[in-house]
Amino acid sequence: MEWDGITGALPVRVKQGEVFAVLAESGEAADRMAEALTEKNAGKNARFFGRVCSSSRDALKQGVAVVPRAGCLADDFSVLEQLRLIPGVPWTKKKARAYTEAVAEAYGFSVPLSERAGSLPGGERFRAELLRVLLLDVKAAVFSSPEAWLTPFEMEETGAMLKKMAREGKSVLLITASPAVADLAHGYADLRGREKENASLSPVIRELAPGSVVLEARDLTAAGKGGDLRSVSLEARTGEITAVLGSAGSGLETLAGALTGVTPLIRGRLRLNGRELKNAGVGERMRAGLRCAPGPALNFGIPRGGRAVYGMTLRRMRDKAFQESGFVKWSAARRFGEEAMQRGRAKPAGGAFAPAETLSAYEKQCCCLARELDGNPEVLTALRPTEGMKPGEARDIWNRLLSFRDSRRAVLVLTRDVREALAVAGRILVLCRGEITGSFDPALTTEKELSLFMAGTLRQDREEPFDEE
Amino acid sequence: MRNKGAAEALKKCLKGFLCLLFGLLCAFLALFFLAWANARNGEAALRSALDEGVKPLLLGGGADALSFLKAALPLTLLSLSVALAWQGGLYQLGAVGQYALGMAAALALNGRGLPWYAGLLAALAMGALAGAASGWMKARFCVHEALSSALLCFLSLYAARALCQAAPIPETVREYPAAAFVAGGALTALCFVCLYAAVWGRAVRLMGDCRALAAYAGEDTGRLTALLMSFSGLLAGGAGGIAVLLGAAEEPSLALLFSGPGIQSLTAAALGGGYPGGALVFGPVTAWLARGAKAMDSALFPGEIGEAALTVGLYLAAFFAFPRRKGGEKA
Repeated sequence: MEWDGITGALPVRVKQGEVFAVLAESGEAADRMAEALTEKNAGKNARFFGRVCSSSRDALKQGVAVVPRAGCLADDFSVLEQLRLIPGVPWTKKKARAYTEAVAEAYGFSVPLSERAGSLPGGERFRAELLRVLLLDVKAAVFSSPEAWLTPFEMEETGAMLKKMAREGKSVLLITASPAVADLAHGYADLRGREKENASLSPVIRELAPGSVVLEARDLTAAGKGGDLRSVSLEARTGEITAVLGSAGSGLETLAGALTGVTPLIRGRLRLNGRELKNAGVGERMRAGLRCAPGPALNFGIPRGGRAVYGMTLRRMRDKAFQESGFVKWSAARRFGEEAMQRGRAKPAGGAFAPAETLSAYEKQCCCLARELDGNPEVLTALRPTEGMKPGEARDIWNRLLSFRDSRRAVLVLTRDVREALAVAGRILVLCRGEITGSFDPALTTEKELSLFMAGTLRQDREEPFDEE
Repeated sequence: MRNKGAAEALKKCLKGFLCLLFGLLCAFLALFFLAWANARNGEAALRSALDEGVKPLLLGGGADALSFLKAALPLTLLSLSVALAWQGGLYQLGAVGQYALGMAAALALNGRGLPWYAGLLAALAMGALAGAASGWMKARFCVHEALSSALLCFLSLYAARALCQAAPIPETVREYPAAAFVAGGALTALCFVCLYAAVWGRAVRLMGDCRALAAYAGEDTGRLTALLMSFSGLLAGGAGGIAVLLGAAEEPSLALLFSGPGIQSLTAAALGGGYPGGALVFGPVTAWLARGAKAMDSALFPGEIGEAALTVGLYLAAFFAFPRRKGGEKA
């Protein structure tokens, strides 16, 4: 595979039987590169086996499978149902199951074939995508941002599987923002430029003793697309950042929805400063001081169709200050938006009136945080706050969260990134398949241990002694 | 996308014109082959297709401005109701049923000693009720509004026919054209004001952009859905009432659904890119072509050619008007 132009001065050549990685500045940049590979106009500089491909379908005809960050399997169908549709896989369920299991076993992994693809935790979902690529019997595979699915522990296993594919003559290209994923490859092209110097992920915690419990959640049970919650209990204390760590499908997004009020609770109790909020709506929780800042990867922090400045009043549309007799007071909304962006240090490159679609992930998150932190709430829930950002930008976001914590407020960071949790939290809870399976002091745990808990291999109620070896 | 600025709306309208052009090209080819079947040679067939087919089609039947406006206004309101629902991410497939119900209600009260607005109010109410039923089913039971509105469309047509049989259409329908135009203008203005100046409209457009976003903003998406479908139904029913005020007296039938306002309203909304502004442009354009189709020489060419041209345009425009975003999220 040859790839010029898109990656600047650095041409990328992927040989047969090689695992190669392209290390991008940020997750956002990695996603753009992966899309550009098979886009009609931008993809003219990428050639698969000497041919330019104008779509993923076209690439598949050439024997190249492109797996984007979101994956290729549909969430609402079981893995087996979808794999049966691949040419070459037997149609009858029994034979298809035997065939797919045999293929997976040959590579040393297994996938729960009967489960819905959307309910699989991150590592299993990635293995399901990998199984799909193996069944397609392609000559080359491109994986975009595999770190979105894999814990650091799972990356090692995955690296072994990819190298086995390479030994069989297949080529693998990994487009990633994670140096750990790039290390799995035989070689990589580092496109991070000056951001390399800021790539250190050393902890930025400033010592502060946590105070009293401000948010108490008991036995939260809810259903959601991001994974169901099963009796999740947690607390947020003033002056502390609590990280809830979970992989894709673990229920992070559902937990955020349950705390915000977007996802209705089936069962459970939620108290903020002693006040019961279980049946309170989104607006009431917001006014009580329980705020949520969705990360840029989720695409609903700032409305896409409008201007950044008007996004600042997104959650206050019905306040008396911004409406009169049911009509929007656009001038008041604009003034408030400009002031809030100033106070929150949200300065998009295109200005306050930049279309929301032109904002980068970092700019969107700055605007979102400026909005949610305005009025000094009691608790801030930050959902996947730095996904897709460059290291320097992520560090700035962490500093903002720490500043908020330092004003004796509570922060809940719901994240898939183990390093982020270790870098910024005072306490880490691991969420796996909708349950809290462990609680950790960041100073006393390791990435590997947390990865095992995220993958469901270990639980604190039935834990075997953890041995780093 | 539904909620971008004027530039995007203009781009969508241009795409709509291209789709329509393609539809007209297909219509021309159909006219040519039909003419060739009866003509001596290709040249005669071409001349016949142009003079007897394309010319009246494009000239809108050569009708006077007033009669064109009388045809265009109800259709424009009907396509506006479809476009309004689309701004909130909803498929309003029951518009023509609500139109028929509104028309039947207006006819039932026309010329029976009641003021002119009685029929219009009844039409608005019937249309709003029918729309609200579909919206309520979506909000309460998550029944997709495309299914419920399509089903209710048939039920509304049946109810409208039953109403017309219970209260037969008067022999002379009393016309109030001036009132009709004022009412039509008022309804159109109300639609735009609600959508672009009101808090409710802002919430609706948020919901159309992303339902999760609207929920995150604290909006009750169920209530918004029910209100939006109700308002959309009100516009569609109002279109029927205004048609009666303009002198239309037509017993509702399935023909309304499969030709006439049924397909034409969806065509105009889709050609307009799903924007209310686009519906205002393409409603009259569609009405113009529909009248032109009726004016073709029926001995040589069936009037359905014009409908077919609009339908081709509709299907093409639907690909532009209702796109998916990258990343798989539905627009």
